Amino acid sequence: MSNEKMEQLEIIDKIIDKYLGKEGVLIQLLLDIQREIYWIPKEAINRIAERLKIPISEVYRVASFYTALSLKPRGKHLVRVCAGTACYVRGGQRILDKAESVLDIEVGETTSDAKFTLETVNCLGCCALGPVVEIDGKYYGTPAPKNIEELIERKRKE
Amino acid sequence: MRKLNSPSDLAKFRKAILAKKDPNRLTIAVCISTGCDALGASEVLEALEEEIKKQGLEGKVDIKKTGCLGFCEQGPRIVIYPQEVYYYKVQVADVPQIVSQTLIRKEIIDHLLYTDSRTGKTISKLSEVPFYKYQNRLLLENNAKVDPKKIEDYIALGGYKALAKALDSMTSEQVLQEVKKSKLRGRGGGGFPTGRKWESTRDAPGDPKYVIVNCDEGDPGAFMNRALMEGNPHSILEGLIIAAYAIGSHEGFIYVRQEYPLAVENMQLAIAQAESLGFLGKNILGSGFNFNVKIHRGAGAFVSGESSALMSAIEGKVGEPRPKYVHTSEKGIWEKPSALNNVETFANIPYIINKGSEWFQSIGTENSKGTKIFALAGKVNNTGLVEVPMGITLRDIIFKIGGGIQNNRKFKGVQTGGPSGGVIPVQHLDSPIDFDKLTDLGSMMGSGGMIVMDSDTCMVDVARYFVNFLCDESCGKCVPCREGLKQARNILNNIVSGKGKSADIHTLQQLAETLSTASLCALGQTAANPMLTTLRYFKDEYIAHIEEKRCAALVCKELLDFYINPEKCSGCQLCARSCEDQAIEGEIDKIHVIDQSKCTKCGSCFDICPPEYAAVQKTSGEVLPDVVPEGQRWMKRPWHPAEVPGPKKAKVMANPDVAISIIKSASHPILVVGSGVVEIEWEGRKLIEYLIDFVCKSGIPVVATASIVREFIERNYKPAASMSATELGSRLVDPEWKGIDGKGQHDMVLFIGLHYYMGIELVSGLKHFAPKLMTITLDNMYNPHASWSFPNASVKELINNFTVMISKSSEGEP
Repeated sequence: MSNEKMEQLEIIDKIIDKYLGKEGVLIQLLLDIQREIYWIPKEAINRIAERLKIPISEVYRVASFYTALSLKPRGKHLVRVCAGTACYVRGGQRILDKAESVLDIEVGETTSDAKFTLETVNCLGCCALGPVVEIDGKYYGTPAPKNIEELIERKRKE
Repeated sequence: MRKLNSPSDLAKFRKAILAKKDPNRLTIAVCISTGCDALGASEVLEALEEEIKKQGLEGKVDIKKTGCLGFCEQGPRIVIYPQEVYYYKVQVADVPQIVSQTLIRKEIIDHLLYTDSRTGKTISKLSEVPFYKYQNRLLLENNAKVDPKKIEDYIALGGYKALAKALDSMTSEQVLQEVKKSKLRGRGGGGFPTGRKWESTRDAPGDPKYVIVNCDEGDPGAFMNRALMEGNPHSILEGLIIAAYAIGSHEGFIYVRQEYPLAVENMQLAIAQAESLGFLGKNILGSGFNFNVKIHRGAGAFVSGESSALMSAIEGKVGEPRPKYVHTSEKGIWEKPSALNNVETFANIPYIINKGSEWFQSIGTENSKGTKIFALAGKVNNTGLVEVPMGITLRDIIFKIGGGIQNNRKFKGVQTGGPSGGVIPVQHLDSPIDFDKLTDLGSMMGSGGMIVMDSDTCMVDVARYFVNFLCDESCGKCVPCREGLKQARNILNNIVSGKGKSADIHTLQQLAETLSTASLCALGQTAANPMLTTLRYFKDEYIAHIEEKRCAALVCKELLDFYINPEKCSGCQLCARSCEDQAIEGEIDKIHVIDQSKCTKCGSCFDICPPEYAAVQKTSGEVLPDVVPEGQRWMKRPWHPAEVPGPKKAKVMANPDVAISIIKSASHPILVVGSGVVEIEWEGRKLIEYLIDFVCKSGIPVVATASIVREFIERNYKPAASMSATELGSRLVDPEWKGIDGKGQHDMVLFIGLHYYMGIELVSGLKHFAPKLMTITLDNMYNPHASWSFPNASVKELINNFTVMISKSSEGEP
């Protein structure tokens, strides 16, 4: 096992430690793993099943059901375009089209250099500012398609 | 913090807090909720802190970091107390001036004040801004007054007094009866009476019992729960503890969607503070009542907002609804009785206990009591959170509080209730809004999302959007929802891409019926609403898409065509350069042409064409005009590519309505007419004849230049004066001139029909030497030097401008 994988498993184990012996913790546990390593690797699913003594299929079912949990590795920067109704009627789709063409990937994909992942989100609750884009947890209100290009380019250079 | 062991401890604690507070102390409240932060509030806050130190005010000013005040689009926003000065769209660069001018010298900075778009007046006080003035901000008001991270702020405003009252002087039965009598209904969507829900949980066999706050807020377009939980978490917590007492529950959950990190953070802190002061835990305020609460983060699934699905999620399982032969209030989390209510419902509880059910009943309509927070968004001028009494009309919300439709467009409909709601059209604008009325109209209250749509919104596309959303979010457990939505999506996708068939409407209706009768949970049962309401109110749009392949709102990409109007093109090459598909042929000074076989309808040419030319046209379902042949593309218009207007360039009057409202604002206008008005003809009438109709109706005096006087007289109209354009120009810049009628200086000059270069020179001169004079050109060529100008227009559009202006102007009030 590579060093990186070992480190990952250590993080996963530490998170599981927090929840051992408690009821109804599976989603919270997976959310914590998602936050730490940005996705839910196969090893995590196996480890949780093993240590919480629940079937692998149950862990997988939960992990695949919720949109906040990703079963694919994510890029370094997460670009999320709000696809809520208010953003949609104010041109959110065009922001998304632009982001797709700038990054040269489709929604749900990660760029080949593993720098960016592009996703949509149902609503960020900033409807009054629509269309809204979130990049690495920071929200940007009412960007024009042109600005989204600038935002992405700035992140690319970081 | 020391634990409070009795209501009198709380009263003493509050007294001590108030004693330390000086109501006249200089305080800056900065909204740092998610919305304002997206616009840069954190940076403004940092700059304020720094600048206050720099200018030596440290220790003399309090900075309060507040939650959402609801007027999100105007952020970042600050309020300076005690004067209640309200600044909006504050930038970091404004900060030094705010500190030196407003904080130190107590002077108001005009350019940061809010301007009422209707009266043009600036407003300095928060409560006088129309957006707030017509609201009844019961639940949201305190968001402006408390720092959500400080429990002391909440207690200072009388927080936890209702809890003390309930525990100390009321039995749990009395609390429940009070809530029942108030007729409070659940704010999360269904509108089920809260008191009755609590009662059935209390009476259901089984122990322990649970109380749950639902802050899943999965409806796109709704954000009042986020604002409440971020901005005033203790008010929800207090409501929850009172509910637990009434029901006899000792364990509660707060379910928050993970998309709201700040709400989670503030609530976590609020719980810790409440625990340390003894509002949570064992023997609360010495009453012997015990209660604990945990936060559960949601993981992003719309269906999790449904009560049984949410409870499955709390158990750590997949959030799928279950059949509700037995209500969750009787068998919920781990099969135990569980009362689940929305954030906003809980926020109402402390008010009901403090002020009594009778007071609460005095607000609202017969069957819907109290206020409701709506999230006003979409194509409306003032977007944000609006709290109003139940029973207010849609018109009041959208036009009085919302300030009308953006860019003066036409109101088409408002979508309420999220994806499970429906679109309410213009004919129901005056309906009073409450739970029952919205259901009658085919929509629902839902969580209170209100998305305003204008003539640029395609209703078939809206239905497709919601069906697509629900299709993705359907958990897949029952067939009608899983398969029905998929089929509906296919059909709607076909219709918007021009492949619709006549039978589609009938099939959609059948699918909708099956969905609403045969689905397992409320999500499936209401999933048909967007289809049903758009079919009910906007069927003609469906028919136009299917039969004529036409999208009147110009939204559905596959049904669009783009072309360049040769009468308006200025040969500037912007569109040709922006086209990624090289579909535009054009050289500088030549009329540009779109090659339809290469066009992918991306619309970038349409976006980039400057508003003053507006030459790129977007149409749907129309026959495109013939392409100008290769050899004839030299521009016939007297365009002057080197004309540099400088930093002050004429604003474009996009339509005649804008023009007429500008013209009506003048108190002493004149109209200068050149010979061009007899050169343009439309349907057998010359432009001068339209112009005479216009001046007769509006009463604006005419100055005729040169030979055009004769043309007026021949048509039985006598101009107020006749002089050459150059002479008029020199009079207009003369401050001593008493005007054409001797009544004083003119404040506005309208121009039409002057030779193009003459017009440019004259108006340019006025711009520099009579800067207070408003100049307006009504020609169909954009004039960059005027204050306002129509964009380039075809003859047909020019005549249309006049027809509309004639119909909207009236004698006596120019």
